[in-house]
Amino acid sequence: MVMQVATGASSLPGAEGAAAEAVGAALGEGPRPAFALVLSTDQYDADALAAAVTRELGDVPWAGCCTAGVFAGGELLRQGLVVGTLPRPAVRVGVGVAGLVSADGRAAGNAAVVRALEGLPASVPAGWSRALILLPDAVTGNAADVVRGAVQAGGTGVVWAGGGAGDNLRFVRTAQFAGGRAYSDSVVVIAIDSPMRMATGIRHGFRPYGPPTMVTRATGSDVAELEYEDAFSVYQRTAEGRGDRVSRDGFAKFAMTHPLGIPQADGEHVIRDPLRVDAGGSLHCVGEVPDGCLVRLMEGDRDALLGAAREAAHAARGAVGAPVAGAFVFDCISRSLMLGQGVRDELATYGTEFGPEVPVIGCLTFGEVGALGRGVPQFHNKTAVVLAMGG
Amino acid sequence: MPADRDLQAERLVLLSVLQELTVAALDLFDPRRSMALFLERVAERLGCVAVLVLHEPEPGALRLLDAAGLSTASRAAPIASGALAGGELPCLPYAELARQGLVTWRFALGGEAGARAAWLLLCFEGEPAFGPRYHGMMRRLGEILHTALLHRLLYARMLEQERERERHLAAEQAARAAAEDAQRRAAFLAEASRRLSASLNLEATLARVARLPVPFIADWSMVDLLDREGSLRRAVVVHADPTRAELGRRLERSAPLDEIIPACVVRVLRTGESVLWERGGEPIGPSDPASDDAAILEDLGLVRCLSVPLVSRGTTLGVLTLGSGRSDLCYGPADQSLIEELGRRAALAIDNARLYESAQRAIRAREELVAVVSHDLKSPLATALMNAQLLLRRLPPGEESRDLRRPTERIQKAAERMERLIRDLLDMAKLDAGHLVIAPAPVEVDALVSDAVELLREAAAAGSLQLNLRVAPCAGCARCDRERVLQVIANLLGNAIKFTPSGGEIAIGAELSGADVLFWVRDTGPGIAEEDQAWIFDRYWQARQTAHQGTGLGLSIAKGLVEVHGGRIWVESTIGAGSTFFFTLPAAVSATHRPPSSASSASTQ
Repeated sequence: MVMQVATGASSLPGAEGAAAEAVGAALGEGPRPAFALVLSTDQYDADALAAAVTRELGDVPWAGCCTAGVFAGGELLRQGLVVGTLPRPAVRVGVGVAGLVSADGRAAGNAAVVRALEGLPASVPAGWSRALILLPDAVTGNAADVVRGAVQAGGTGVVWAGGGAGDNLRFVRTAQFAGGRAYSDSVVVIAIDSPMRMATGIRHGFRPYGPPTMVTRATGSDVAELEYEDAFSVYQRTAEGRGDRVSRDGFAKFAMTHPLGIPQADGEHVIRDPLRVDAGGSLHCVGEVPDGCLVRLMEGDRDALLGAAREAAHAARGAVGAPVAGAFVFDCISRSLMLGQGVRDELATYGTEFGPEVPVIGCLTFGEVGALGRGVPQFHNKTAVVLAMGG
Repeated sequence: MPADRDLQAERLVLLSVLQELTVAALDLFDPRRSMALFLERVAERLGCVAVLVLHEPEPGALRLLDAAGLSTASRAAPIASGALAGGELPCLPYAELARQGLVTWRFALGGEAGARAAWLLLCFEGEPAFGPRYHGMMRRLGEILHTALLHRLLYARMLEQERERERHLAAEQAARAAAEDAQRRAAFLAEASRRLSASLNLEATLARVARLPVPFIADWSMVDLLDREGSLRRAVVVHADPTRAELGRRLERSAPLDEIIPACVVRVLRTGESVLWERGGEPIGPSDPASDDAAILEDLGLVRCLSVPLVSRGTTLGVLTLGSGRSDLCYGPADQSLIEELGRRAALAIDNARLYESAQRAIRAREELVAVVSHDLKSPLATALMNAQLLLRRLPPGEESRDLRRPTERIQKAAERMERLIRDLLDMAKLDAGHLVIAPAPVEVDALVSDAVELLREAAAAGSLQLNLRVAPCAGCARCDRERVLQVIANLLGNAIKFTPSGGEIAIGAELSGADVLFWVRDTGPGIAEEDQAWIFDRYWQARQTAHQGTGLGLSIAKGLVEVHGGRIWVESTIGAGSTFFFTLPAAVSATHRPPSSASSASTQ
């Protein structure tokens, strides 16, 4: 069995046309695939897009989500649709969807994995590899809890990847696709069993600076206090130590390039992206910050980010240990905001690392899912997650 | 010095991780906190592929207490039992741990070897880079975790005991509420029985049956009675709301069974079982739902109703229907049981009322018959008696008319006896029917007794009996119907004369006894056996020894006459020593203030 990933893309403004063009390109003249991953931007009407894609794919199961941008190869589409297909019989795929993420993220994550695995063997067949792609609504709920609930059902014996659905930072409504329908406030899980090895590479490229600071009061994604002072004041002072003056008005722009990092014992940092300063100097982040943990201010630059993307792809390719048949990339939207036009260089990096003949599709996500290092998977920010599939 | 800064940073990270995980471990003191959350936190911070807590509830039986990083399927996989050889853990059946280069840090939770009951396992993919300091940190954390687990267990037991106490308390409260409810229901049924037994009038009983459950267990109720085959009489409809009561009464009429609304009433008659009807379920009736009766039921606020059969002595008399528009009255099993019991008691009361009415009709018929027959007998009898007396007067004295006198006297006695018999029968009939009318008035007791003695003096003398009169000086007046009391005394004296052997003594007396006047008649006759004393006032009863010496109605009539006056009558007797009959009459008030006079006493031979 040979894994042959095929991709298609379209930037047509209408859902019907975009679905026809992208799906048509992905299907080509070949046999019907086992599964299609569909990633779209958020301009389309979600229900209309789901109906159009279902019409085009027919009986091919598919799933996906909407994000702030999609790419196929090195081409970034701010409006468009990308489709990546996995061939049969090389893979077996299960899809699960559950909600409501805003009500109980852990339960939703757990239920979606259970449903995705329903049609697959209880344990991964010998010599096979299993990947679980998690596409949660990261705007409405605690995505870190969604990931924990999912791991509680799926365990760490599989490859984890994924990213949060987004609406280009409008924070109104995101869409998750499964079973031919569009959902919101939900999480979609795609389980892929393949005789070929699958692996992820995860990097962010940010480095810490300034003194480590204790989180002394936090609830969910809101950091109220650092070392018993309001969080913004401490953040401000730390930045000033480097000669950067940060006002409330300029916080969002500054924090874009200076997120928080939660140190791990192995020296890595899980990134948390502070979006805004709330009343009382509380910092609202993308993702949970545990009460009592340590955080550090992080900084990154273009070269470090591009280097991280390259390292992620390299690590994934290395872990596959065989020629790569294709890759799905979940790249944080804020990285593209930091890089500006340079994001095309980041996307080109994946092509360079895998080779021009390897199909790569991906999206600009609102938070990412994967295991940083070799531990349990977590929810990340400002990170690039590369899922490589051996051919 | 960058190297120093890095070292400081590393130490800070170590301390922060220790603090974060220690705080998380302390949270485990509360058994309501998930252990999985703590283990997830450890796995995330230390980069573990899995973190497990194992325990050994029984020797050789290792169990997974909780874990992070294991799938649902792995967590459900059983661990092979067997002794822990040299304290080594057996191979664990988890796919997540089946990987090359797995490094496991194992920490015993619970002190000395041999006493270990739990283990904390941290599993890494490859040797972790952070070396022995974190291992030491986790060892310390393991001690905190062990203490937390102990407290968790104790706290969980305490919470469980608290819950158990709350469950007991709730059960106790529920039992008390149920007992109070049962008490209310029992009181309701007792009150129902009391009210239902208060009258034997059928219509009054029906009204009571309908009123009883409102509003205790119904907003309105109605009673349907089977009139004749194919017809039902809606006898009474009662509503708690006076403004709707009149509306309900419009339903009170007879109708053929196939027109009865609600239809559940007819279903009860056909099945003999209770039927619950609720709006939104079956149609309310077989006929046009827009009929007048359906509209009235709608206006009565009918949401649900329960119809129960009225069955007595195996016969269905009708149906009792209770209706409700309240959400708290759902007519569940307890309500149904209560209403069915009410139905049984109501049916008995209705049956009794019907039987009473029937008995009353029979009594009236018999009374009429007796009156007619007596009247028809009395006229020819009076003629016979009058002519016998005339004949006796015209017979010549002496031996020459002896042959005619004897038969004529026998005719006269027979006619007199028949006259007494008819009078007794009429009195008895009136007493039975409660129609005997008396005219009570204050009557001097000594005069009353003297007059009675005077009536029978001749008969006593004929029997060679001594008749003594012993009226107490302050006997005063009795409030009574003089003629009827004379009849009582004459009956008692007549019996004494009849049954006392010649030469015996008969005494009659009276005295004031509290609010009553006590009369007594004593004789020296043969006495009455103790076993017969309870029956002598029953009609037609005569002792074996005295059978056929009277009609058997005298004492029964005497008893009825005394009781009509509000008094009582009884006998005390000893075989061979004679009998004393007592009876009481209410004393007239003025009599108690009368000045005492000397006792009157008389005797005759």
